[in-house]
Amino acid sequence: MPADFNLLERIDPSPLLGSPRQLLNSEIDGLWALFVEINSRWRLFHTRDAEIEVPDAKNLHSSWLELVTLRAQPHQYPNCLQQLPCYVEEYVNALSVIAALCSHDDSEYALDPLLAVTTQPENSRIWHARKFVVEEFMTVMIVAGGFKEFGGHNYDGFLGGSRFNEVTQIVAPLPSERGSAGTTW
Amino acid sequence: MSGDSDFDFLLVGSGVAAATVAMRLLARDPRTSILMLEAGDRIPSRDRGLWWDYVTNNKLPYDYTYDHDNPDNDTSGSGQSSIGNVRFEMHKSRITAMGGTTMHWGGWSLRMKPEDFVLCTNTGKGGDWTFSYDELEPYYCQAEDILSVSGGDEEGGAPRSQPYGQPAYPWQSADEDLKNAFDKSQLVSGRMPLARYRRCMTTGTCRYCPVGARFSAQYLVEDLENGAYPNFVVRTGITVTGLDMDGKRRVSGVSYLDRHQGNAPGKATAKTVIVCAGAFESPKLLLRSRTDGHENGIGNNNDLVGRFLVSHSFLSIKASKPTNKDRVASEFGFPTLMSRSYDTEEWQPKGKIFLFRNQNTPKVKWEHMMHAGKTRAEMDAIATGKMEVGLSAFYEEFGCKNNRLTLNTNGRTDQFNLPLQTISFSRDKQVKDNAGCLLNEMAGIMNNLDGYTIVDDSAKLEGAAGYHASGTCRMADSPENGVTDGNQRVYGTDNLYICSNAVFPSIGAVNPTLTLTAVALRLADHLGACTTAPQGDEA
Repeated sequence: MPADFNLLERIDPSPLLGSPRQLLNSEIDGLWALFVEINSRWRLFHTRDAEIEVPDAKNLHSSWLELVTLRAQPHQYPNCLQQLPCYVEEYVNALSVIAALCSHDDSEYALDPLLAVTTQPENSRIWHARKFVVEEFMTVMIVAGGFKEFGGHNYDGFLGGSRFNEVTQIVAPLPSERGSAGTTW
Repeated sequence: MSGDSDFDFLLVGSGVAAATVAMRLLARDPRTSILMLEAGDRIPSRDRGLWWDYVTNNKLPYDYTYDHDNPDNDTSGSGQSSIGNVRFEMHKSRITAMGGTTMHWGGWSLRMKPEDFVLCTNTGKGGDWTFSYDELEPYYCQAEDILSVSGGDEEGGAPRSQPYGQPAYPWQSADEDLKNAFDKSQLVSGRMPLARYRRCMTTGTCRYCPVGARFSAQYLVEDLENGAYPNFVVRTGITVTGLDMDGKRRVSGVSYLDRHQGNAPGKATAKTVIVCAGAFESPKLLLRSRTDGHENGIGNNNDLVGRFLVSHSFLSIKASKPTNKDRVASEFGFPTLMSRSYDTEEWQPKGKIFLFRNQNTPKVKWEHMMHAGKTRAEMDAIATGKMEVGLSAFYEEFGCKNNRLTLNTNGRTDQFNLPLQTISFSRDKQVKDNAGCLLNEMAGIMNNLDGYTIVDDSAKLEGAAGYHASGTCRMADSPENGVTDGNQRVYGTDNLYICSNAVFPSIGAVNPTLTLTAVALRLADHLGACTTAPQGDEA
């Protein structure tokens, strides 16, 4: 985080421009920690146990990583008027916002201004972090499977597999159908 | 053939009509030389970055191609203009790009019914086709193969000689209540035929499928480009500005602007020209092409080009019940329950309707609630709270001579160098009264939903829009009644054809794309059977 970083600084509302590049491992780790924190607050993915409930977003890691990787290194499309914005600077900004918030508050509520509050000062750096990073991560969390927590069987954006239920059902045969040699299964 | 010269066929446009004609001609003779000119761009498909942008931001890579409506109906304004007593919306109704509007279509692939081909005979309204359903039926079967249509037994549907190639999508749990209401209302429930390849993963993001599972003409064109067709050429960014004549009856080719080369002008020639530019650009190209003997535009000696504009009107109604204890939600991005019980000859005089469950009900956007700061407990409560089901219908309207498009007199063009248009579209009292009658029928169905109450003021006849537009170069048995003959040749010319919804004299109550594909196959067979350049036969 730059020393003079001000998370309330007003900047252009459109995505921050930056050159495409591969994200650093530390940046990916920092963004993943943000994703995990979102999951923890909404308890969309977790390990259920009679005694303990542990938030666990690991099974979304590949979907999430694809998003941030493609956002950081979008393709160029020749002869097409519409191009994807590169989010490298948005991700750097979000990590700086998180660092700034944590530097002011070391409690578990440090990220509340980013995650619990929905009305950040418009066009500020924290507004950018909310709109372009946090809210996109929330969307990934829902479409990649979080909707199931609310009883849904499918959702727009969910890659749920083929609609054809033609996989041969494999079931253990009844005891009487098993081989006389006592085949184990 | 050299450069842009001396092709056997020149196709203006690259949507499903052009792609199908090209495919059929090349299948007949792979050496056939075909030049396909597309004003729009080649939109990247199956791109995961673009798909994520759609999922997270609802932005589509072809958004920039949509028409800009003129909100003030100002005929000298900067966008498409609409006059008449009904506003005619163009925005998001079509796509200018390789693949055309199939880049964003829903893939609903229904056949018109036999009575739709004799609308005027049956009702005195609209127009009759110059051929029957029976003649088109074999082409419907082939069109369903090309589009990869999934469908099931369709009691009350159009007669068919072959089964669908793929099984229908199942009804969803969200269909159950409305299906029961259909049963109580003695309607026949059907499964929506959909153009989806087997690899469909029901992502619901059909407007930009991440795996290319919903048919798009772009895939067809690219397959042809990658096939063993040495004389098949596709060029994008080429806006055809006029048809060039060689004498009074023969079209020699086209003039164009190359947008990717700074709008450099150019010409292309061919033995036969087929305009496959949709129901708006096809008539506009004829109107722009003013030459000796065609002072009002080619094919427009009887002032019929651009007239008889038809588009489906949209009827809708909703009902709700207080709780959704089973947490029912719409599962796909398209409807699976439909009924053609009002799409019958009996209802034809009033205007048929095609009924389907509104695929957006019941549905909640959970991510939007997270964005809005709802807690998990609040979201859980919403999941089991009020549930809404919508019933929607396409409502057939009839071609009226005064419903028409004309070139905008200010001479301005859009982002693709295509001329802006003025659409004059009105509905008379009878159309509105009939819509009211049909909405009452729909309300009767919704009253048969157990435990639901119709949502106040939800019964609506929507405004007109460019979806499914047709009729603007309609076929007829004489030049006094239409722009093209039964083989889609423009009257007054020997070698100019239209392949578009524009030639449809009626549209019935269902989506037109499957019928257009069948019509394109029929045209290609006609052209392929001509051993020499075809000749006109009228005086």
